[in-house]
Amino acid sequence: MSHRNATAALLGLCALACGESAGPRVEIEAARTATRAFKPVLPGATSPQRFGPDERPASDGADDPASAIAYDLPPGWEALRGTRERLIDLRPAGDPEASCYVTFLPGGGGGLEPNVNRWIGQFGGEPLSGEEIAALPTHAMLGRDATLVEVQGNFGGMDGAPRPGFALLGLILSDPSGGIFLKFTAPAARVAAERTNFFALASSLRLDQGEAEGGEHTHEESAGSASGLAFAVPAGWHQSEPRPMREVNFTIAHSAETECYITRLGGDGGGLLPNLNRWRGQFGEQPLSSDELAALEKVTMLGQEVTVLEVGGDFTGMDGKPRTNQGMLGVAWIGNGESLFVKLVGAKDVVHAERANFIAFVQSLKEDG
Amino acid sequence: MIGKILDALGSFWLVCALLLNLALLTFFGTLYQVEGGLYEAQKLYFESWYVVQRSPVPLILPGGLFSMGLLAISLLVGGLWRIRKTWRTAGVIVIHVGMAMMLAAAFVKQYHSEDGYLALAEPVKDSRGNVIVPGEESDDFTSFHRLEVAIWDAAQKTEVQELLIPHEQIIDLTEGRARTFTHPSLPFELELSGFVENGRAMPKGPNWQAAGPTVEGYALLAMERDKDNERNIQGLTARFRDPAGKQTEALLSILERYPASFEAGGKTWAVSLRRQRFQMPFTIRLEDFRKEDHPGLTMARAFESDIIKVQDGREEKKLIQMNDPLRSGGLVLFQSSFGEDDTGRPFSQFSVVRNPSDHWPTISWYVIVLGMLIAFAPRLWRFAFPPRGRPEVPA
Repeated sequence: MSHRNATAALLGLCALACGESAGPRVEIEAARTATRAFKPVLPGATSPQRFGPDERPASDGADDPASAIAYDLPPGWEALRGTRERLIDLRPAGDPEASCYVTFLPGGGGGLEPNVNRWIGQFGGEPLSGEEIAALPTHAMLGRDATLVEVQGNFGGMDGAPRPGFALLGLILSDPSGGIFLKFTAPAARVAAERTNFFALASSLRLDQGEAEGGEHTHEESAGSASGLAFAVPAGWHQSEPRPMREVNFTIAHSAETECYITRLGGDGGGLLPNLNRWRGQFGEQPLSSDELAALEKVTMLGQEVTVLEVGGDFTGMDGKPRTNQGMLGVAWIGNGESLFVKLVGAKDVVHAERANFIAFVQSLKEDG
Repeated sequence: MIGKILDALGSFWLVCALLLNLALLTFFGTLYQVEGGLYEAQKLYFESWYVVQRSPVPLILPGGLFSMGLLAISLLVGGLWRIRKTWRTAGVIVIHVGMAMMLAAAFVKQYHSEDGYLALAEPVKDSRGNVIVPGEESDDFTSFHRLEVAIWDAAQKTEVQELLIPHEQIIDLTEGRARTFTHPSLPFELELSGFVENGRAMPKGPNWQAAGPTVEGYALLAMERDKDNERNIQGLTARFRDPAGKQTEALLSILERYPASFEAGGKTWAVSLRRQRFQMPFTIRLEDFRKEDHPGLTMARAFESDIIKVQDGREEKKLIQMNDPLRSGGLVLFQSSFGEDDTGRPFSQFSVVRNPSDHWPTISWYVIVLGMLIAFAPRLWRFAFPPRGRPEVPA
């Protein structure tokens, strides 16, 4: 028994010997009178309420996590119901020992290295060094290079019961905004046989653009209104509560980080070109020349022609913190005495994929009443 | 014997050794900062009595606290005890006193200062400039690094009586250690354990090992410590036990949406792990925040905040700008940062410092300048106006 374990065991024994309370008893000495409560209290709040995702207004079912990522089902595979954690849950049809699923963990999901070594550890393997992990092969997933992990051995990851002769094929995409994991475990022979299908599945993963499984497309729009404006809500967009400085606000169903919002300011809001150049500046782009401005796509918004600006790259916002691979679509409408700014911000590929929806939304804007 | 000790303490060679050690600490501390972050580097190299370093070169060195403390003593002994006390050395003595004062100021700051930040959201205005939501206000500020557990009666909305468990009694609760907290006003006891320096409360999955118990499907997933300590999300396990023996378990995290709550003695009690809050003798309300960018860039050239300081019912309008802090009630508020909160509302952030030795470096600077004047002015005088030579005696 290590010194550390022995200490822990000793503390445990001491706790038992001392009755129910564990560790030394200490009387609290410090106190203060706060002007107001530190945080609102929700009596009896459960762990999901305290730590889970913010509950959003009910939508048309697109909150179903399985709708966040689309894929092509490999031949001979079947889709399972999935869980809150498993965005996609598949397996070769009828094989209860095989499991292939996609999970998403926010905030980097613990990072690449710990997750690679966690998977290896589930097979009893020795952890890899940072250099060894950096040298692992990659495979395209969701338009990026995901780290490929292959392990064989005595798999003990799921319920703790050892499964000798198992193998794992896994892909990990990890960055500070979140980690996406595609993991296939099965008896080694099955994994070897389904290898081509696994990589085809990985390559087929894509952000769902309102696309039903199997490639059918849905283009359902709904009407919405807020803040004196009426508009058509593109499929997959969900109107959320207005926020300060954002009179109309949308989240994009398949990307928690992507939002579209309208800001209304008095006067000309600083003017068209300064605003477009400020947005470009946030991505490190040079100001537009008049020729470049003229070449940008124009659409009609509230009876007036507006310029559609799309920028992508490394974004530095007001907080000065750089974020990589970000995108923005924006239009500025300068009216008589007020101005409206419509912006779609988020991951670059998502923003680009939403361009048609964004333009349709801008064109649908009308004065309400 | 005492004389020999004082001689050793005030020796020139001791000062040289200490300065050399401080140079080594600065060098290795800077290297460590790249991997370990500023907070850890400061703690390990500069706020310590000794340093045990394993890489890049295995070393055991006297820590910054020890070295600077001994240097202050050495300067005083050398500059007051051993030095010949004549008018010629008066300036040098004064310089030594000034330098020792500066080190004493650092010592006082280390042990008696409080520092943190205060972030206040801007007022929300409509398109005509009318304030719809006033700017945020606060009468306390938040530590960057120190933690505390606060316990309060959830029915209290204002003038909330908080019981506080300090940082030092939380951060050592790792590796099976636990501590049970009681107070005469509490109808329950609170056991804390399982401190995680960086971890997220997440739905427990089959493929990861929780750093503590699973409560209502959630557990703490321990993650590698971030070198920027401000990014670490500390967590704890709490167990409430009432006199009837009812026990309830909860996870605490500085990232929780709601505090943990527990029914006991006919009341609902709230318990929250948070960064330590420090009370201010006044309230600060943000009225306006302005920033000016460098031309063609989004990098701020200057930023400033209009604030209202409210104390004893009296309101005072103040401007806080870069390099022009607000000093009041023993506190200094610097304009330090800005950003947007989770709702997209812009906020202005101030660094707040309560440092009893705030003015000591300035005073010690004046003392050193005085000492240099005493030491060097006569020499300058003699250089500018050399004494006439003795009249030659005729042969």
